[in-house]
Amino acid sequence: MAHNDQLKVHYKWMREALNVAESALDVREVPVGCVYVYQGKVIGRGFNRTNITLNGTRHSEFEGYDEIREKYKNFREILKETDLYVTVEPCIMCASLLRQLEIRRVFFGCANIRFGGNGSVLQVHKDLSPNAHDFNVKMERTYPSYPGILCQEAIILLRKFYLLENEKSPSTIVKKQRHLEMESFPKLDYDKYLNRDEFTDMFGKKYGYIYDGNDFIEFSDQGDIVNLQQDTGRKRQRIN
Amino acid sequence: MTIKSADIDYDKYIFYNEFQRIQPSQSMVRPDLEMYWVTSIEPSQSSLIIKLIKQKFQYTTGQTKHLKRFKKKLDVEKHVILDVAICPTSDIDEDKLREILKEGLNVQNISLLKTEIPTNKPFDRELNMEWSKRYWPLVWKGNPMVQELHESFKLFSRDTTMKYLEEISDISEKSTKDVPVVTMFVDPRTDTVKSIQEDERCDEDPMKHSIMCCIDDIAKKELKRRQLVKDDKEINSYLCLNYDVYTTHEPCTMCAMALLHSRIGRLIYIEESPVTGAIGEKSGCRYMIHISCTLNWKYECFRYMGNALPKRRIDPLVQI
Repeated sequence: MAHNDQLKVHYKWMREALNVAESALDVREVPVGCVYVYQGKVIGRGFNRTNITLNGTRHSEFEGYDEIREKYKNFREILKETDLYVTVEPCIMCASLLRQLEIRRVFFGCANIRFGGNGSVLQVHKDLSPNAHDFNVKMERTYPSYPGILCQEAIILLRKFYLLENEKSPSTIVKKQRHLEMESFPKLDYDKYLNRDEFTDMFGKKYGYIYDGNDFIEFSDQGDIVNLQQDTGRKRQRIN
Repeated sequence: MTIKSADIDYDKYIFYNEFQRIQPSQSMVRPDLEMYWVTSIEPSQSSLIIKLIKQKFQYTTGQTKHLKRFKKKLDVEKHVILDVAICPTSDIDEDKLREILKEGLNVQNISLLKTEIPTNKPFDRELNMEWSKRYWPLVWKGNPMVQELHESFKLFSRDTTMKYLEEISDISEKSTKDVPVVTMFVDPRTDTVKSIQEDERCDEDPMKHSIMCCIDDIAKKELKRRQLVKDDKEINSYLCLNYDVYTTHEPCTMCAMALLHSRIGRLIYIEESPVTGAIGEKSGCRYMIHISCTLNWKYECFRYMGNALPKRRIDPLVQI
C-alpha cells in the first residue's frame, strides 16, 4: 500500500477510536477509547471503565481484549496480526498486557505523560531483559508504537471531561478562568517513542520535517496529511 | 517504639535479616530533573515575589520542600540578583506567566528562563552540595534515606508479615494450578484479609494473574455490597488504598503497575522473577515499577530473604 492509502486507514481507525472514547463522556468515565483492527475489520473496542467497575485497571485496552477473547476461540493467533488504535498512549500496565498478547502494532493519539508505557515513562513495548540471556529464554516479541495520530482531538476530549467534572463539582474556586482550551497543546517529542526511520517508513519520507520539528500531524477530513513544510518553526503556543 | 540498630541493615536495606526493602542502591541514585520557570529579581522585590507565590503558586510548596526558592547570584556589576524558582514549565505557558509576574511585581521587563531542578533529594551531604552547585540550591536536613528507613521500619511488623506469608506459601505449595502463584490483599488498618486468589490463567484468558484476580475480586465484592445497601454516597473509589499485598512471586510489569493504579501501600513477595519481574533492582528490565511514577503514587516493596518458607520455582519466562 502507498503511504497515502495507509495513512487514510490509520486516520479512519483513529476516528473510530475517538468515537468510542467520546461515548465515555455520557457515563462520566475518562474518555480514552480504542479499537482493535484485524484484517481491515474492528474486532474489539472499549473505553475506560474504572469508575463504573470500581477497578482502576479497567482501561480501554482491557475492555477491548475481553471482547475479543470472548468472541474468538483462536484469539491468541488473531491478536498477533492485530493493530490497536488508542486515543491515549497505553499506560505501563496496558503496554505490558499488549506485549504479553503479542499485538502487531500500536497507534496512539496523545502522550500519557504520567504513566505512559510506550515511551513517555518507560518503553515497555520494546525493552528486553538483559537477564533473558542468562536464563537462556527468549522474551515475547516487541511491537512498534506510532504516536500523534489525531493527537489534539484526543487531548480535547480529555479537557472536555475535566471541564464537565469541574462544572459538577461544588467547589467554585477552580471554576474561574475555566474554558475549553483549543489553541495550546503540549508538544509531542517523537524521539521518545520511535526513531526517525520508523517515523518516515510509516508516514512517508517527505514528512521527516514533522518528526524533526516535533510538529503535530495535521490531517484533512479525507485522512491526508496537510502539514506544509513552511509550518515548521511557525510560532505555536505550547505548554512546555 | 525504639529502633534497635541491629534490626536494620542500612547498607542493604534489610529488616530483621529477612526482609529486604527494594529501593535503588545509593550509588545508582541520579537526580530526577524537571524543567522549572525561573525569574530574576532585585533583592528589594523579594517580599513581593513571596506574596505572589503564596497567592498563585501555593500548590508548589509540597513538591519544592527540598528546594530553596531563591538562588543568589551577582550580575556583571557585582550587584546581588535573586533567581526565583516559580513552578514546573509544564504547569503554565510563558506568556501567561509573564503577565502574572508583570502584575505581581509591578514592572514591565520580566526575565524568565528555564532551569532543570532535581525533584528528588540526594542521600548525603556531599551529593547535596554537588547538586546544589550544579542545579539549584537544596535544603539539607540530614540523610533522608535513614529517616525513610526508620519510618518504614516503625510500620513494619515481622509477626504479621510472616503470618500472611506462611498462609500464601502454604496454599502455593498445595496448589495444582499451572502457575502456583498466590496473592493476598490485606487492609492493615483493620488487619483483615480482603482477597486471596490463585493464578487462574487458562486458554480462555491467559491474563488472569493472581494480582489481577484480587483487584477484580475486591471491586466486584464492593459493587455487590453497594447494590445491597443502596449506598449511593460517592466514597473514595480507590478500594485498595494503602493495602498490604502479599504474593509468592515477584510480579510482572502489568501486575506491578496494576498495584500502582490501585494505590496500594506495600507489596511483600517471596520468590524473585529474574527475567519477568518488574520490582527488583536487577530484575527484568530494571523497571522498579513501584517507584517509577513517583510524581503520582509509589508503594513500598519488600522481598522475603529467609529460609523458613518453601519456595516453588517457576519457568523464568512465565509472566507472574
